[in-house]
Amino acid sequence: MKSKRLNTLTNGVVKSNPTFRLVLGTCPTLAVTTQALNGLAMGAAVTFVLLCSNVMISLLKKLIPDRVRIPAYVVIIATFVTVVQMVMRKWMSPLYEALGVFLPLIVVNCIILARAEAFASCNPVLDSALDGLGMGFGFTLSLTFIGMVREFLGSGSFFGIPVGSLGNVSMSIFIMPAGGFLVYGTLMALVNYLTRLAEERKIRMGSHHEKGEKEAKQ
Amino acid sequence: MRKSLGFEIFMTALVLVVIAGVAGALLGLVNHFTYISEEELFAGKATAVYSGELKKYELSGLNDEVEYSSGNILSVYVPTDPAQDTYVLVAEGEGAFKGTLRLLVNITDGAIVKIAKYEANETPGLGSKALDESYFKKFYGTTITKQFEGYAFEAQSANVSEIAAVTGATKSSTAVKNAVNAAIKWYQVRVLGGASV
Repeated sequence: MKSKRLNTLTNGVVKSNPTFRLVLGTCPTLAVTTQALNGLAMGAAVTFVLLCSNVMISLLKKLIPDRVRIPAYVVIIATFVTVVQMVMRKWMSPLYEALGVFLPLIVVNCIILARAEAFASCNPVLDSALDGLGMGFGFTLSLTFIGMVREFLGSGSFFGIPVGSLGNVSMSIFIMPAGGFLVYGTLMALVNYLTRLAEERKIRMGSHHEKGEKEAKQ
Repeated sequence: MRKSLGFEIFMTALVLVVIAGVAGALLGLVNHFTYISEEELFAGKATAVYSGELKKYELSGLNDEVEYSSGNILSVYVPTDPAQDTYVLVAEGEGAFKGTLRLLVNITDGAIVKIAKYEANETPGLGSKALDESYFKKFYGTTITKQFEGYAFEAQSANVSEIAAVTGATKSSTAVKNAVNAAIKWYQVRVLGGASV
C-alpha cells in the first residue's frame, strides 16, 4: 500500500511527467519559460491549483452529478486560480506581471482538467492529493529546467543573475517562440531517451534476476 | 429506487448553486485580505520616481486640447508639498511588443528627471532591455520648452532630440519613446500653456 502511494507521487515526476511524457499544457510551457524564475513561479501556481482542485474534486466526487461534472470542476479550478491571482498581485507583483495572461489561463490548463477527470474523480482524497502534488512537481521541474536552458542561452543569465559577460554573446532566438520549440523538442527527446534507457536496463536486470532464481531452483 | 427527472434536475442545479456560492464566499474572503486599490498600487510603484508624498492632480479634462500621436496620459500626480514644481505622470506608449506599456515620468522644474516602469509586459531578456534605467537615463535632463518636439529615432528638425533604439528591443524602445513624448506633450499644453504643432 505504501509503495503504491509512493508510486502515485513519483508517477507525475518521472513516468507520466506532464510536460515531457504526456505533452500537456504546452502553451504556458512555451510562453512563460523565457526565464527560469517565471517557469518556477508558473509551476508553483499550477501545483497549488492542482493540489487544491484534486482534493476538492475527490471530496465532492459523489456529490457532483455526472452530467454537470465538467462545469462543476471548472468552477472549483477557477476559484483556486483566482485565489492564486489575488495573492500574487498583492505580494508578488513583478511575477504577476511577468506571467500576465497565462496566470488566469491556468483555469483551462489541460493538466488540471485531465487530472480532475482521470484521477481525482475516481480516487480517494489522499491519493488525489499525492497525484496533484506529484504532477505539479513534475510540471514545475520541467518548466524550471526549460527556463534555465532558454535563459542561459538566450540572455546569458542564471535565475536573473548575469553569468560573466555572456549576455553580450547571447542568442536571442532562444527567448523567442522558435527557440522555445527547439529547446522543448530537444529536451523532450533527451528525457525520452534517458527514460527508455532506464527502462531497458530495468528489464534486462529483471530477466537476469529471474534467470538467476530459476538456476538456483534447479 | 428510480428518481424522477424533475428531482434529478433540481439536485443538479442545487449542487451547482451550492458550489458556486461556496466558491464566491471564499473568493470574497480572500479578496478582503488581498485587495489593493489603484492608489495603493500607484503609491508602491511611485517611490521609484519620487520619494515624497504624492496626491492626485485634480484637473477637469485631463487631456483636453492635448493631441497625442501615439501615446496617452492616464493620470497625473503632484507632491502634497505645494512648493515643489514636480509632476508625476502615468504615461502610456503605443507600439510595444504586447500592445502598450505604461511608464511613470517625473518632470521637475521643467525637465524630465526620472522614469520608471509602471506596467509593462515585454519579453524578459529582449524587450525588457528598453525598460531598464540605462535606457531611461538617455531621456533625463532635457528642459521642456514650448518649441521642443520630443524624441525621435531619426531627428528631422533642430527641435527634435535624437535617441537610439535598444538593439533587439526596437518595439519596446518605440513604446518608451512614445510614452515619454506623450508626457512632454501634456506638460507643454497643460503646464506651459501651448505647444509647437
